[in-house]
Amino acid sequence: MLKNNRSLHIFLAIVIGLAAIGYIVGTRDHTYDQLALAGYTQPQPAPDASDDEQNDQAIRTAPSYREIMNKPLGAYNSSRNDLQRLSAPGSDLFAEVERTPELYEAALADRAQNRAYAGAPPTIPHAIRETGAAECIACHGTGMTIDGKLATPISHEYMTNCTQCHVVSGGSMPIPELYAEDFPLDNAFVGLERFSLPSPAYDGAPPPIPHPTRMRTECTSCHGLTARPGLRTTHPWRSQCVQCHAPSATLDLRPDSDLNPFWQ
Amino acid sequence: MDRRTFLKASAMAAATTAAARLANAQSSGQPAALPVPTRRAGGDSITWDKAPCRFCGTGCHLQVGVENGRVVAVAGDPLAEVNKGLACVKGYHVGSILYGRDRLTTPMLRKNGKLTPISWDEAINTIANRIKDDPKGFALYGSGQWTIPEGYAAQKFMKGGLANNHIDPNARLCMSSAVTGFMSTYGVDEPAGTFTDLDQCDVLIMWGNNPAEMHPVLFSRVVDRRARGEKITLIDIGTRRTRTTDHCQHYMEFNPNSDLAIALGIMHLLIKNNTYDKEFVEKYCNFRANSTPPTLNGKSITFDEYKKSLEEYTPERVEEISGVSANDIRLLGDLFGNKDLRITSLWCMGMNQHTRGTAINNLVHGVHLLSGKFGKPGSAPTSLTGQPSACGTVREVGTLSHGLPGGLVVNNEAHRKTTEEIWNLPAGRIHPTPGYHTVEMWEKFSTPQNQGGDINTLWVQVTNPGQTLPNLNKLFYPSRKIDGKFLIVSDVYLTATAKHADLVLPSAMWVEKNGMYGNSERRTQQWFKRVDPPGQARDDCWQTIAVARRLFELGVEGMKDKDGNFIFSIKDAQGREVPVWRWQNYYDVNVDRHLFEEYRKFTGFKHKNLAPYDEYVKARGLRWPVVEQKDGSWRETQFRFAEFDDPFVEKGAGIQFYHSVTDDNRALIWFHPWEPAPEVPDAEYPFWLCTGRVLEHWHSGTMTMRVPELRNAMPQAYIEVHPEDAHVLGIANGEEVIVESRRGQIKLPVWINGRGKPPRGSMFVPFFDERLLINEVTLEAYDPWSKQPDYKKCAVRIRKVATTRTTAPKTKEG
Amino acid sequence: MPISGLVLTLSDEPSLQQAALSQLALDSRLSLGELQVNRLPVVAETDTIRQSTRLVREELIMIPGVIFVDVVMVDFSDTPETDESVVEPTTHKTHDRPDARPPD
Repeated sequence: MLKNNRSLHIFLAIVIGLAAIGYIVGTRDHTYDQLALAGYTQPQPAPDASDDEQNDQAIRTAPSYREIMNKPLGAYNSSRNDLQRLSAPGSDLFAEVERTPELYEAALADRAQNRAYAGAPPTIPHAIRETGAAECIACHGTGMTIDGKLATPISHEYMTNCTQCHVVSGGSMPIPELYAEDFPLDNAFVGLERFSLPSPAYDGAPPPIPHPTRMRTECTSCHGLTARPGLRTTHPWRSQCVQCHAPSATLDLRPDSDLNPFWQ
Repeated sequence: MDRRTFLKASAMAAATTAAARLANAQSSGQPAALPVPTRRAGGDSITWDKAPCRFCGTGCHLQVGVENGRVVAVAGDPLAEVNKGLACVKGYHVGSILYGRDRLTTPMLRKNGKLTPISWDEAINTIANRIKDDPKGFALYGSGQWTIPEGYAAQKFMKGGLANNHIDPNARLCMSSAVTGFMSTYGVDEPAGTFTDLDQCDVLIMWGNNPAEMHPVLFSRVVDRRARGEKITLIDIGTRRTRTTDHCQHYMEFNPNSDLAIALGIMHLLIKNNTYDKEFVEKYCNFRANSTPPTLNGKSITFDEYKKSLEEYTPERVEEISGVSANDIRLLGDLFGNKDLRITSLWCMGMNQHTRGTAINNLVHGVHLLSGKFGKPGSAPTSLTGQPSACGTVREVGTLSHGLPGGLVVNNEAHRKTTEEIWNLPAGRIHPTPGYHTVEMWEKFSTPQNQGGDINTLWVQVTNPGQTLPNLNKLFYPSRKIDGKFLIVSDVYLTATAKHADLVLPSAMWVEKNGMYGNSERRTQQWFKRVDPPGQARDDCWQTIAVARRLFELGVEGMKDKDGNFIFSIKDAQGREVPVWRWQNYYDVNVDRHLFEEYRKFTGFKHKNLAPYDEYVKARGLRWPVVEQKDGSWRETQFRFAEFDDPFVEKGAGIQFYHSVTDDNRALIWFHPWEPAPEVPDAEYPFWLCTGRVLEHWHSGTMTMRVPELRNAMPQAYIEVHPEDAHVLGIANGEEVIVESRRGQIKLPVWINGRGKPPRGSMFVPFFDERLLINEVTLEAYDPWSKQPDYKKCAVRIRKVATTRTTAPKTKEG
Repeated sequence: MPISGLVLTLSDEPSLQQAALSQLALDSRLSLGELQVNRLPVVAETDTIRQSTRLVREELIMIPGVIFVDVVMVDFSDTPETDESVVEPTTHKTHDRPDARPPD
């Protein structure tokens, strides 16, 4: 019995010792191998050919817990604990909308921050992952405010190759630029800040649309309930915008009559 | 001193200090300062006009907004059929490329090792004297970014004026395998189909192609069809996962160089399953294989011989060679064997930058011909180009060492005679021997004269060989240390090439000049000058004409035509000669229009007919052949060689390859065996290295790296490494490594699971970054027919950098 | 009598630059300093703030060859309290107040 007891003690000591070593190894800071594997996503398996009808988009596999824990989530780090806020009731359709020249200027200034000129595709002010449109649409489909930051709904028709026009303003790589001083970035391009506001036909008339409407079919993107206060519509319950607000043929660069008939 | 005087004096002191600070900050290190922008524009006086994008071969039309003499905005042109009002991130920010503060604004000559500002007159004299003293030792290296008139002027200057065929373009590094592929298959260059096929195909196969980044507007044209509910199957046959892969239903990853085996495997199955298009093959095709000694046109073989050659390429054997599963090969075989499907193939650098470039081009055409996936809307083998006018200028104007305008060649007596007649030159002016192709040209320039290096003066226009040539340590740097080798560079910024030049000429770019481009789908485009170039920058075309004129004045016979007139003599409406060689008179006439109308006379010989200049002014480009209709209108062609659309196909012919190599209206289906690559990984250099491009940067990045939105999104080059390889090598994300081949080495940061995902044993480096020149590592081995080097495959090893970086890397200046 | 210290950025084009310099020299309200590359230090003296504002904001920038006007310092110490305190609105359309609400 005593002998047994001793062997049990030895056995437990070994178990505890191994556990302690395991614990210490486990708490070690990021080692090369962990870093190397950080952010690694299993390649997506191609769907079976016979599944074409069902799979117009490639299937995304669910990440493992290990991946979720290790993956640098970039901008999403700050928002992932705020899921409850997302389910909070939406904005009030009939809430009073304050529109002042100051708010308007502030809204335009804010917009100009990530656009090279009025009409340029905005750059992306947060990190993204190299996945498809679904990830963008999750927030920018209907638009939402996360952590006080506005995710505007897309203003144009649904297109699937988002990164064709929108690139990350802070850099796509998790690597700092190494030799910036050898190739200074110094550009004197000055973009068009805004189009001038056309005057309404008479006092109180609905103002014409002061910007091109091409690629801007979804007015609520900039003027809806989630929009910047200075640009928000005072009457969000009305959805047929162009009924009262006329677009400009000049700004929209519409065809004029002297074009080659081939194009008509 | 009263109070007022004191106040005024203080105000003046403050203003003077500020002025000095502003002036010095602005001009430090730069030859001349650019004007500082006025203010954000208001849009009241903005004027819009069309221009094709400056960048890739897609050829999107943009609307460019100009206010107060500066480009202030860009929009996709809604009337453009190519892009239908959309652009990509490079296109939207193309306006900024004009305004990098380090634009070149004055000619500079290297004196005592330093580039020193000189006058245009001195610059033109320097070039003219060097050419006059050694006309045979002069070479001109241009590009697929030459506008059509620029390329035409250069072509006429060299081959017609100097009787010197040493003119070649950077497009040699880019699409010459596609050219030889088309020539040896159809007898005439350029795709039969157009981008319209992308709107109609059921299956799109991308062979080593990443259009999601390199031709994004075209790729969107396809994937957005799916978003609208159409069914289309996308297949990516590649050596690395890319953004394109993310959109594809099928990804077939093959071992480098084994794409030939995949094409052969498809052919094998079409024949074995008896699913090839018998009628198409019997009516429109002949069979070919390599001859001994090998020639571009090979030897004729029978269908049975062809069939026998394919026997060994069973799906299982192809799997063994390529790593693509036999099931996937069968899937491809079944798709091509399905009569009801319309299939379009796209390819670009993956198939062209290949030591078997011509062969793989032949085989992909062959797969389409054998399966009859040809000549019907949605079914076409279509190669893409990387440069805006690789087709329009290089392939059509023929600015290659063997070419003449309109698809004619120097080693054909009748072609030379025709050209001399159009140019009004004395008979026998044009030299019958092709000049040096790109790699040869730079080899000769980098070899001392007494060792056979007989190119002594090299003029580079609109390209950046100091970054984009392969194996720079062999082809580029040596010339800079050899006495008597003189490098002239016309460019807009001090590029990796211009830094090393003896003479730098500041050029106008894009909407700072008139221009014409020709895109990948045979579409010829035109635009007008909208803003002035900065400082003393001037059009490349003017530079060529000015040098020609100086040679004329120096009495060089070649600059005169048969009647003793200057070869670039241009007359105004009243018939008076306009001195376009003087810059102040250059825009007195539309030089582009004059050169283009002369060039047009060549375009009918190979049925590449172009419309008059004024038609292109009205259109958003027209696809050749453009033929005049009875009512005086001009009609473009979407589908070449097909009776329903091509005006040159005889009635009842169905399909007619009217420039057939075999003179019987048939195309050639080739057999080429699979062979291993010239350099494969071994114990010493165990990894494959592939190079390429990224969405944000265009080629060598001289323009896009100066655009804040693009630079910030992709600030530097990197090396993509598979996580497991990184694990084994003990390398973490962001760490710097040394990438080394038998030819050179560079230091690069590692990006694991980045933009692209190479398989184990394979690495990828983009070439846009002039600070991190991967072409010091690449291999200059080239395809025997196209002379195009293989940038996609060589063997490297990588190792960790032992210490962290404390100083800047070697400077390239000097 | 406001006094302003200004830096004018002139065009790089020699003929335009010369034209701007000649025109500026004619203006009695201005004292010109020494041109540094293309930056010209200038002291402007006007009778009222309104005139000063108009000169700096509108008149100078209209002169061909003047590309930009930087204000380095301003002195109002000699200006009578009675001077206009409200600046006349400019005529640029873009600065119009954008708060015209649609009728609802």
